[in-house]
Amino acid sequence: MRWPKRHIQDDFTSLTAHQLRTLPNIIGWDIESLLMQQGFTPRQRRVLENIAETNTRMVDLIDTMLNISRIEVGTVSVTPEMIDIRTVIKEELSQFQPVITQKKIRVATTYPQGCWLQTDVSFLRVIIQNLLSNAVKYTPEGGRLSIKVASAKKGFTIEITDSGLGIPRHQHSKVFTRLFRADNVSGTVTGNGLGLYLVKLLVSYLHGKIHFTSEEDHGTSFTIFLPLKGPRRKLGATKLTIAEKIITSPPAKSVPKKNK
Amino acid sequence: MATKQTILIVEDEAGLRSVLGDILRDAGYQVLEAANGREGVDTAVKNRPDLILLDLLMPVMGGGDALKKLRKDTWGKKVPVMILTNLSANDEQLIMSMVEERPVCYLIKSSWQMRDIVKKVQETLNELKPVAA
Repeated sequence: MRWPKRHIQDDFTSLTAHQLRTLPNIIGWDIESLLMQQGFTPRQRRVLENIAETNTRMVDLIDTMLNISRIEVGTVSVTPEMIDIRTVIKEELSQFQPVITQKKIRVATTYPQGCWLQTDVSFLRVIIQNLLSNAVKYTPEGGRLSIKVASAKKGFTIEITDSGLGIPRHQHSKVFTRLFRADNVSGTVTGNGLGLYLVKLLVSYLHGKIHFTSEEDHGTSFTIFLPLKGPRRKLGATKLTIAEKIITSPPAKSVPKKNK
Repeated sequence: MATKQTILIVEDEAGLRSVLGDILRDAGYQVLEAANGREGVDTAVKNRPDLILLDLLMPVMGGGDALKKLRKDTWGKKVPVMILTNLSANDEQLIMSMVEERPVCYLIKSSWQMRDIVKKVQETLNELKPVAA
């Protein structure tokens, strides 16, 4: 029996992602094992820590590039289902908790009663991960982070605001372009310049909108609007890669009927 | 002296298997290793470890088939198994096929530091400890 082309592509992409992740995984664990040993000079330890951090960035970059490539080529599949935005945000936020605690960032969250909408949860997760990652990364120690979900006409808005470095005004028009790096962070905070480009692509796939306000040295606020009834099901070759630590629950088998 | 708890690592990447084995031994566990699903099932049934860390994509026999086979064994149907994979978190078909085999959790290896995996192992084994009368 010949496999349909879509299945072959599915397997190939899945295996490629697996292999691309496994190699930095080995490097990461080896470095971690070394760092547990005694006897390194401070300089040796710093070098090892740099390698470990670069390795983590490599995994992030692999995931981001795979996702962008799937979206740009148009092979990504979309699976709408009824989801609770609050649950998604809480789960994603918990992944950043160690850094939030370490940097003593104060977090405030606001949710309305019932935040259900029909959308693709993996897209939403990647969007929230990227926005939270930026907010946490660019907010200095003791700063603030707020996440506010609100009802809007035929949808919800999600507003993620930080008290971080902000984006220089003259660069505002370039924020969602590929390889964008703000002048005031390049060289001090690491990043691959693809996160917001990916976020913009994903939001438009979900039939949503995104805008931001930002003031240098005061912080940035990104607001996403997502419609109650998002994208239709699209059978593509691959799904998005999500950088999650634990798969907490299996994905839904089918799209529930819409709530009246 | 209390008997050491035993953990079986079923992982085809020798580099990952050995370094994770070292850390778990340092944490006080007895560690067994297997390089594919078939070896894993044989080692598990013979040695009856307290916990199995199971990779999914492996040669000879993958983790999915290995777990299905284990669950058919009288002892193996109850042994706690943690899936450690680098497959995408939403590889729907595979994950759905694993649900019935009741793994404790699925961890994406590249997102985990080993010390956190050791903590997860400790928590899992503590939760499973029989309550003293």
